[in-house]
Amino acid sequence: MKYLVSTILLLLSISLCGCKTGDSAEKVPFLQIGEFAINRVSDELTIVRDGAGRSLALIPRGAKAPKGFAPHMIIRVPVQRVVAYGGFDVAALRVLGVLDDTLVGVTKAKEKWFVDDVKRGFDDGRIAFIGDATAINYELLKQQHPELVLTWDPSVIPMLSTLNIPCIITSTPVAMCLNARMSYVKFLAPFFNREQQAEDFFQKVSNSLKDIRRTTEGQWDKTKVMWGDMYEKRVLVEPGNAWIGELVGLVDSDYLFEDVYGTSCIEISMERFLYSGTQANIYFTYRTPKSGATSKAALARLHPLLAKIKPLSPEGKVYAPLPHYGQSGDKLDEIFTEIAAIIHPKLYPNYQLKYFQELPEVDPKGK
Amino acid sequence: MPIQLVVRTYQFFCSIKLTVTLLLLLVADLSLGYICLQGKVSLFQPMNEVGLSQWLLTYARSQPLDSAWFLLLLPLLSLLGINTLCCTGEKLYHLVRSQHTRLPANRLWLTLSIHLMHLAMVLLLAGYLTSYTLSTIYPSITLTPGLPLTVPGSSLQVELLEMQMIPYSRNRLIPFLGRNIDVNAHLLFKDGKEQVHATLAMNRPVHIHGFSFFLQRFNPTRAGGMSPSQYIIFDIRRDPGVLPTFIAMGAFLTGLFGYLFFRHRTRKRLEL
Repeated sequence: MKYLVSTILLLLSISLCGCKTGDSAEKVPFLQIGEFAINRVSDELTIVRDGAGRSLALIPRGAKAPKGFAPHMIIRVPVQRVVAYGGFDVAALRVLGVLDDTLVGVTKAKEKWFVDDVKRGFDDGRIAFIGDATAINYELLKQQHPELVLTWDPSVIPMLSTLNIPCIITSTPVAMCLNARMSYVKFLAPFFNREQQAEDFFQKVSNSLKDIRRTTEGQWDKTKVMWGDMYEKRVLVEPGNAWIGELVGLVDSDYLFEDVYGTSCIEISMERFLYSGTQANIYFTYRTPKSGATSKAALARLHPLLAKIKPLSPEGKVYAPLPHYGQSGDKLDEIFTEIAAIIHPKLYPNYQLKYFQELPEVDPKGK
Repeated sequence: MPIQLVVRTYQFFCSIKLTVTLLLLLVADLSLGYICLQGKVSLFQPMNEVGLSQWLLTYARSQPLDSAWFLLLLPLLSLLGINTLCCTGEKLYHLVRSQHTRLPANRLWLTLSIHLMHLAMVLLLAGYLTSYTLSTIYPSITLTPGLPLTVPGSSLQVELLEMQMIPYSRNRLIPFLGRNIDVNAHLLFKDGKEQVHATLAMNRPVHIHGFSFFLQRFNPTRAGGMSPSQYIIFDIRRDPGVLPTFIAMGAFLTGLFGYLFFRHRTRKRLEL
């Protein structure tokens, strides 16, 4: 009996001691990034798991199609023509250095873009606006001959399958944690054979997080932060498992929805939101100045109950993302630093905000 | 020599000390698992889609620290299964040899009920192992009205005819007001000339032609929500472990009822 127990304990010790992280620079055979995964089966075949849990095969151009995958589940790499729904996906293409060469379609009109490369693509006639995300013009989409569609909307999968256009779902049922947010480019890298660029970006963001940690470590006056918004019929927040929850914890502050778990923009009760609002010092709204977040008074007018939360009083602070924030996923290091500077302004003196705007008490006169 | 080894191994597995040791180790291991699982659910979820062996070679291998407790759980459960089989076999053998001479009928049925529960537990574990090792799984398949699809690896076609939303109808949970909490997805299955209508819903899978369809999620979850498009996402499974699992559940329940019934009668008899 004692031999059995010893053997089992020995096996456990070996497995615990023999562990290593999967974040090394070289091509690791298997990498899990939140809900996403990359499994390098051979030089000729990589199987990826997208945000919806579907498995797709990546094969080099000219290689024989693997068995067990429908044509619309096979992607030939490096991908040369991409349609992207989200600003974050476009930013990831920029990180990988393939935006100029590969992006051929987006779901926002030219005037809504702040990324110069995308604007230039529109001017050159290379990038097309294929319709709003909820009303895609499939004729136009087909004309762009995409080899891959990056989308958050699973409802387009059946139609794209009939058109034999592979797509991957880039949103996940559970909000991305800090590591998944930073590593997302690593998931897209094998589609373009740009693993090194993804690793460099990850290291850059990782170093900025280390700097943030060093700067903010040991802060005793715990700032209380909340991120979300109240709309006419619903209240949406970022859950505690989302990257912002982790980041707030990393800078030794309290995220007030730490106990909420689930998808990004998760719905909670109004009472819960208002209760946290009585404790918060800093409030990040989803609304941009364009969608009404111009001042605390303007927010209170949009939803009178919102006026009850502490950050909307003169004691608190409210921050709204600027319009280009959603398209700045390639500047994660700067965004993280900015959030740290907002939470601990004394530690970052003279910091100039680039991605968020602190809302004044009332709208400036004349506006 | 080999016979001696077989006998010694059999005696080793017939030991009640082994049972106690394994149960204690299982408690320790599962306690470790409870700690390791915190915030790491996404590591284990893909096991439902890729199967146990593929999961062990990929997810578990890439994160050995977080999956070590599970790696240990598998041999512990296997040993417990063998231990249970050997102990039950041994007891049944003695029971068969001595039943007419020693045990009254009620006591005999009581003992058999207990052994049935033990055997059912082993079958249950075997059923789950079969499910996780031999199933064919097609995860996260999206279906929208009007665009039928063919089930992979078969000639079976499935079409979504209609989605009947089921909204939250009480008023206790205010945030759920106006939210669709379930859907009745009316499906049409076609295989050659054969046509079958079925309704798929949460916790109401559809079984057809050896395939099982499990609804994963649906949209829209709220009228007037951000994404108005209609679709369902489901998993398709061909699972040979279902039958042994259900047989084991039935056997366990039979054993449990038998135990409760005959224990009562045995006690009554003793009181008299």
